Amino acid sequence: MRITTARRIAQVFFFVLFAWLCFVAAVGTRMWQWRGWPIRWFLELDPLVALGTVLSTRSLYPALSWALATIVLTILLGRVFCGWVCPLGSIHHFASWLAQRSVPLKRRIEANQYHPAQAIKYCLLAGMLAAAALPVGRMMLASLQTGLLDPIPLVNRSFNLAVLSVTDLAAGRWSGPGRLYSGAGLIGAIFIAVVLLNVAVPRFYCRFICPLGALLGVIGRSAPWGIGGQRTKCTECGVCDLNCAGACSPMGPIRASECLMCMNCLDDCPKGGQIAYGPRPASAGEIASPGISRRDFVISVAAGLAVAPLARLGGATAGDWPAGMIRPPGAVAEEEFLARCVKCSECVRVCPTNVLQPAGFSWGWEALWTPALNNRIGTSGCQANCIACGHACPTGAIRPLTLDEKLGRGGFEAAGPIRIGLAFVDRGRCLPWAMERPCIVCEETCPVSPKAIHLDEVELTTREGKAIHLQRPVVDPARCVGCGVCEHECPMSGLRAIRVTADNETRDPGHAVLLRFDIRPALKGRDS
Amino acid sequence: MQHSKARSPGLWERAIGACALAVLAAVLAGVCIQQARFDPAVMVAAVAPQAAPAPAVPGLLDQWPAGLAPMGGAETFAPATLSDKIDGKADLYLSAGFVSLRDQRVKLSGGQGSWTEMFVYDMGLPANAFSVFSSQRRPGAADAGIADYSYEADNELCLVHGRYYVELVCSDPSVSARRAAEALARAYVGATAVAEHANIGAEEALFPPEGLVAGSVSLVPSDVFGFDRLKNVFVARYRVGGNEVTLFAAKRGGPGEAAKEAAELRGFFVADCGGTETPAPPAPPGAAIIDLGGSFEAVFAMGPYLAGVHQAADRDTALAWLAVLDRRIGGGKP
Amino acid sequence: MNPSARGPEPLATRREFFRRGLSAGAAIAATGGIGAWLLDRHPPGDFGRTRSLDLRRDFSVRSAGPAMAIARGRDRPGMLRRALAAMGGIGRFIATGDRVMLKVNAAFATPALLGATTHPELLAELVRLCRAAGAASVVVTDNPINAPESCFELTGIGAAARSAGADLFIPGPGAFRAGTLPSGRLIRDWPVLYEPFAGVTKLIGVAPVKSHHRAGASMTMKNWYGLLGGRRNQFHQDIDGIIVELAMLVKPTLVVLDGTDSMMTNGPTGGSLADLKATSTLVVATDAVAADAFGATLLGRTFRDLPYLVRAGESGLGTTDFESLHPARVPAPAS
Repeated sequence: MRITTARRIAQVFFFVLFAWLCFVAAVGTRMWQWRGWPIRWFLELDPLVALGTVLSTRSLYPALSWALATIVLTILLGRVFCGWVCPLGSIHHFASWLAQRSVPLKRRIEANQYHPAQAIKYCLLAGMLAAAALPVGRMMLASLQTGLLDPIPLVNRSFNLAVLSVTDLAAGRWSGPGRLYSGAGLIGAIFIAVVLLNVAVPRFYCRFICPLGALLGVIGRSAPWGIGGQRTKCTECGVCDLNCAGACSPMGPIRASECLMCMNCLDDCPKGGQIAYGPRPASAGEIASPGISRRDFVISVAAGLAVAPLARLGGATAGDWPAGMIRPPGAVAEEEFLARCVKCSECVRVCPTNVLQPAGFSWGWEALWTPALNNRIGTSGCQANCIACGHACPTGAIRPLTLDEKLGRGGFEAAGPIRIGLAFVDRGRCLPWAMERPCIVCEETCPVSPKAIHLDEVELTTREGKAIHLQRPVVDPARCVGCGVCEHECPMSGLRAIRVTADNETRDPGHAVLLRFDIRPALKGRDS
Repeated sequence: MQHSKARSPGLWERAIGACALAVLAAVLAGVCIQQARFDPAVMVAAVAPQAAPAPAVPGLLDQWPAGLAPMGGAETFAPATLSDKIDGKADLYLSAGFVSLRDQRVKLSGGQGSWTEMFVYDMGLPANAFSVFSSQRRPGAADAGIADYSYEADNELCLVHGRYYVELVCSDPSVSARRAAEALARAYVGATAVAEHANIGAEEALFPPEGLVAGSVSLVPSDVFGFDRLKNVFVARYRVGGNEVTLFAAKRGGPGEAAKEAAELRGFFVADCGGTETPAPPAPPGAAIIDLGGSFEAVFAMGPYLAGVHQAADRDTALAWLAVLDRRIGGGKP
Repeated sequence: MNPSARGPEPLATRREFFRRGLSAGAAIAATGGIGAWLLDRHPPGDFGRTRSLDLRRDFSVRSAGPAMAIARGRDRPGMLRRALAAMGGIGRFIATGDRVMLKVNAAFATPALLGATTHPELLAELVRLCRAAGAASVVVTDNPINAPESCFELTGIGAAARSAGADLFIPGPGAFRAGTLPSGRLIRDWPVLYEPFAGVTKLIGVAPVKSHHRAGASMTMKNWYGLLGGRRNQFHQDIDGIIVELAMLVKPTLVVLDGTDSMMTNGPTGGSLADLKATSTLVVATDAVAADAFGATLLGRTFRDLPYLVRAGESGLGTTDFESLHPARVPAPAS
């Protein structure tokens, strides 16, 4: 079997596996649901996710140890991840093949020549890692933006929110109306654009943009084994460039950090064997270092260092924190959250009530595509007995809670339940408060026990002179956990008459409304 | 895509390809193994609807008498679920103010594997407990001398303790089982404090002792004589010279109330039961005797008391018992 | 097509290969090592575990024993000197080389004569006395309610501190750490002033006598409220509790209670001279509870009228029976 055949099998295998793991990311026990499928695995394998979070949090989240395997593989063999494993790479490879089929040979060879702009991805990598590397601590200014361009989070996000929504509807997987995802249009459009770039240049993204490819190129540039040209009978016909995925000049000197290990050149050489896979450096020589100049590197790093401080100037993580942004239960405090979230949308996908949505630009661009609750979308607010989002998160931006910790029981009574916000009755819009009409839907549907909404009884006379008895909802901040079920159920469906904001969320004591003793039961048995 | 035919895969190439496929197979195997080990989030969601398990009902007694040990845990039943346990009998309790039932089986150690099932009915008030006790009292049951009121029959021991009505039903009528039931009953009474004891002495005194069938004084909580508006009336059976008759009496809030109920009962007998009024008896004042065709009913009110005769064989019998009641209630009571 | 290029000679290739193999091995080892070193075995902890510092501090001088002095007069510096002398001299409390922190009340940007803040003359004298006793440094600080710069300046405290040779520490956001009082309910994971305490060996609180709408009175114990950061307004929901917990958090060397002009009404901000009454008294004590108990009398009340004081006394943080400390009563000098 040819090595290219093995490579194609591997690409298909990992693509299908990736698509399956995206598809099954729904809480449930059937074979086509989560069960124990390792839905985070591709994100955990991604060394850029690991390196980014290592820089921004100064620690390696245990699940991301898988990335070490990818790094070891790359140190030894070069960018096999790009050529054999990466699902986005496989999509690009396939799209490029489709696009190039009708193109004459000479044009195809020209399209696969190395272009100096391939250095841009190293600049992007340097900038993103610099942004993530700012000191942590009291002045936490690390901003993890690798998720915007990192291929695994990108393809994960695109599949979860855009591509699979179509197949979900077709397969009827969700009973009732289909799931909605805010901003999925933009995400889908970006994905389509990225794939369409392959019409211009084959594997455009992998060559020019992909920061993970850049990272693997840096790591794997001195691999002991790899592709190399032999100088015995080479006539420099250039046919090896015909199907070269990485535009790495396999004829030599090969650019080791650009080679995607697609092995096509091995097959294409008309003389047979002038390009070989073996110990490096090959006799045709190689250009080991990535083609980025020192000047460009310094500029990229400087630009990256400025990211977080500039982004934070608006106060979005300080006094001007967005009250409408309700993070999932188990989310860590905002500065650490922004240092961990890679915007993979795994949590958005598994949320059984579809209430988690990727944020748009309204809460600052740093929060773009990070998860937040929108109680108007979905089947209910945040379910009380659900801990799915934290267990789907690969980086610990949302902690994997136990149900006891979320509900404040079984050893967590002193800390109380995890609160993500506080509901506020809009007395100007609420039917019994403003319009003399009975309604107690919010009180009825409040899931905590005892209820966080109680009713004030009032007798009044309507303008028709009828004496009516009304019950008016009042929120108890000591009990409300901000789950949003009340907001979802409120019949005032335009602007809800009871709305949750992120006040009093447990993850940030600075947002507290009440003294904590008022919420937690008294600590027992302690003397002064 | 054209590949050169000039090159056929060498040994190393095939070996590397095979290794790669082996890695893929390992990944597939790992993924398939992993999918059977459910993620904690899935486990939680799968069991979530039950949330917290129903709290275990504590055993009926903290300490069991010697030789007795519980078989299984105690169960508890509310008005809505009472019929799950006692089926049609639930109506009797429900109409008498039933609050809850706790029941448990208790085994005798040694013996032939006999056991006793202990039912503790919380009837809310001692009068209610007495009413279900008395209305189910078996004829010929001897007083067991435990608690406020008690009797025992072949394999049963029933008692009233404050607002609780307790039945101990043995699996066999052996002496050892009955002794065990008695020990349980005493243990229960000793361990359970009640705010108010059941005491129908005052009402019992309303009934003349002559001819009274022993232990037949009972409290009918509702639907007395088929009249749905008549509740909480004491009745007692009498046997004189082979003739049986029932006397009834009840104390109401005041003379007005008693008179009103007497009038209503008269109206019930006449209108609903198709009876005809017979000439009024001389005493007590305001009394009425109604001929129902097969039997005679007599009703009167005296002070706060409502009383009368039920299912007398003939008018003379009714008259005679009326006079007895008149003397008993009117004479001996303020 | 690429121009042909000559690569390295084959002889060098094998050596290069081995070199690459070695460096690859080293890179793998380094990656594994760094990964293991950075491995976060306890990912972000649950919120129930307290990860903040135990910031209890005890600056009391045990060898000096409990002491209290009550001086009468109108001259703050003079009263302070006389009171300290009656207690055995400041040398009993401040030793050579001590780094002293003076916690003043600079909560509001109001002029000193309105009596809402520590009087600058009193502060200046105290700084001089500390330095004369051999203190290596004196730092004056508070976490004001209003804007810090204007508070320290308009009250005159900043100028007084500088003129007397003390350092002024104006807290910024980085000056606080999350602190927990182990036995407390309120001070849990709460920002507490931290930075200026570095190296400090003695702490003296200096506060005026004021009435206070929520707490009843604001004197030396309420003064420690200025050590709290964050949105501390919440604690007004349990003002007595927080005062008691602050007393557990911090035990000062001395407290100075300035009752020269006591704010009888409209406290703690006051705003009118009519709010003040010339009670002409200054108290220095090692026991803040006792000082406040005496201060209550200047406001025309007893300690029983102040729930926080009752609780503090019952918690054993000091004694509300100030007479038991045998306070030295120093009359105003005749002149």
